[in-house]
Amino acid sequence: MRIPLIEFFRFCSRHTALLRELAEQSGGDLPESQILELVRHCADESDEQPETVLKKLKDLRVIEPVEADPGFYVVAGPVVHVIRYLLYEAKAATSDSVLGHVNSLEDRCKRLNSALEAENVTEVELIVGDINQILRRIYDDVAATHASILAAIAEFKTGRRSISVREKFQRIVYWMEAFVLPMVDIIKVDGVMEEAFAETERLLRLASDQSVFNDLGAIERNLRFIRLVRKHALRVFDECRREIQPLYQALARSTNIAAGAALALERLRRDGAQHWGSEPLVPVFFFRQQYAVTDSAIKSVLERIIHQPPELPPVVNFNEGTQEPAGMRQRRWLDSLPDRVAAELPIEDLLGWLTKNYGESSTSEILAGFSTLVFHERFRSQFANGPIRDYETPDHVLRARPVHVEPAEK
Amino acid sequence: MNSLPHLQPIFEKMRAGYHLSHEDGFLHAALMNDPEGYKQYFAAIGLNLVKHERDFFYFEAEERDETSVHLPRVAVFAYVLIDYTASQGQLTDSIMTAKFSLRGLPHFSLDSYRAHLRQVGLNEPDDLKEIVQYLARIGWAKLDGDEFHFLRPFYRMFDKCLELSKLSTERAEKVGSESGVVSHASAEEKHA
Repeated sequence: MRIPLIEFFRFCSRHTALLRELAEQSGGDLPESQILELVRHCADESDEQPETVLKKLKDLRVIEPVEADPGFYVVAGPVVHVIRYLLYEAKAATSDSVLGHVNSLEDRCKRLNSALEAENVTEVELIVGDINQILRRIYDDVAATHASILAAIAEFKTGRRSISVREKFQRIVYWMEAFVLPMVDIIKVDGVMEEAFAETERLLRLASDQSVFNDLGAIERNLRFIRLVRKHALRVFDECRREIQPLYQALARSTNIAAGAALALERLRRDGAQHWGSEPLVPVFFFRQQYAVTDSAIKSVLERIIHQPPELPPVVNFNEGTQEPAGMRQRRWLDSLPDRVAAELPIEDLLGWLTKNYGESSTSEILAGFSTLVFHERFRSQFANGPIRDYETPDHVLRARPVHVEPAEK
Repeated sequence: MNSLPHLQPIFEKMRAGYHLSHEDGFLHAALMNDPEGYKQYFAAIGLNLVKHERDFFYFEAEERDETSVHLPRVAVFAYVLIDYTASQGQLTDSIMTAKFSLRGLPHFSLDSYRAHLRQVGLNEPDDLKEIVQYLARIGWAKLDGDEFHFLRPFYRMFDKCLELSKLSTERAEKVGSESGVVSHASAEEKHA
């Protein structure tokens, strides 16, 4: 049943918001209740009743019932295409779908070849018509893919949504790998599409030359269309590749830089600053300057040498001498003192006793003996009550109060 | 008689680790005019003058200064900034064209960043000023009051990040091949 064109477009012009909503929901089937909800959502005061709008949607075949599932509808494919075309929201064709068209073209070429050999005019006419349709679909798919890639790139460049560089990179990689690279493989000059086009061109010319098919205008139209599709496809995908490639490279670089920084920080978290090592650091030059010695430094060194002339090192006599060393003699004397004093205890005046018994000893020796005896464990010493006295040594006169010494156990 | 101009001011600047870039006007122009001549001159006194692919110059550090407190701080400062920029969905190279305010830096915005910074003795937002001042001293940034922007020599940090990323991939591949696991190049390496 034909759809009344004027009525269809009048309806569309009154319900653009609804059609846009329906196009966005066209990914699957919709229950009637959901469609009614969309109608209500998009309605304004001047609109008719939702039920009336729903009926019109069905009558004008904007939505079509799902036969296997009553109460459910899908948005008609051609309507979705028109809306996307109008809103410049093309969906990219996959390389598989273009490859499918190319395969169809190859199939028609085989059939055309057979029809030409059999001089079957009717079949040639039908096949030429088919070829035109296939070329048209390739052209549309290429154009749709171009539009959607450009839209994706524009959204990427202007999108304010905060997503990480890595996520952006993944999106661009997806576009590159899912659409651009496989498509370039198909349409490149030595690819399958070019091969199919060349064969189609050859057979169309053959049909024209053999006068099997008299509609030369249709053949010429197809030949022009082949040239157009070929040129268009190559240009479009070259442009897509050039659009995506710089983004791709910039994102790959950013991703790697971010990955390096994240690695360094992770290592810092894991190992701590002490074990971070020098690998994550960027070394910076630092000139370790050592100054030349100054004149004053040289002068002071020379003065030290002049005023302290070098002399021969002391000679150590390792031969055993006959005379006892003074240090040893004093040690032995100090060790003998306690026994000597013990025999004469109590002593009323220790310093007096020492200067009397060892009058030839020096002041330092007398005082060494005095302190040894005063602090000795066998004796107890205390100041006697007597007045301050003078004690003569060979080199000094000492003034002190007398110190009384007695046995410790007493 | 040496014909290389401005030798003394160039040496005076660079001996303290300064990186000479376009910002340095005639000194940079002199180096750009005869980079090989300067390189040979400094090589004679044991200094390796490096001309980076982005047209700035520095003396190569012969050995890494393990005692420097600045280098780990600069590294953490830069890595945090790069990580933050990438997670905001911006290209990391945008750091080079952005103007930063000392008060608006993102370094203390997350606990994880704060933990990293504490590891190298950066405990307060005010401590970051010291880092930026050091960057300005070595010619990596230009500080103007509370604001600063990075100069080309900061690309050395990006180079380091790329180096670390590459090393990590190579190590992973090596471990994979040693353990018999077949490793696949990542998408970015395959196409980059």
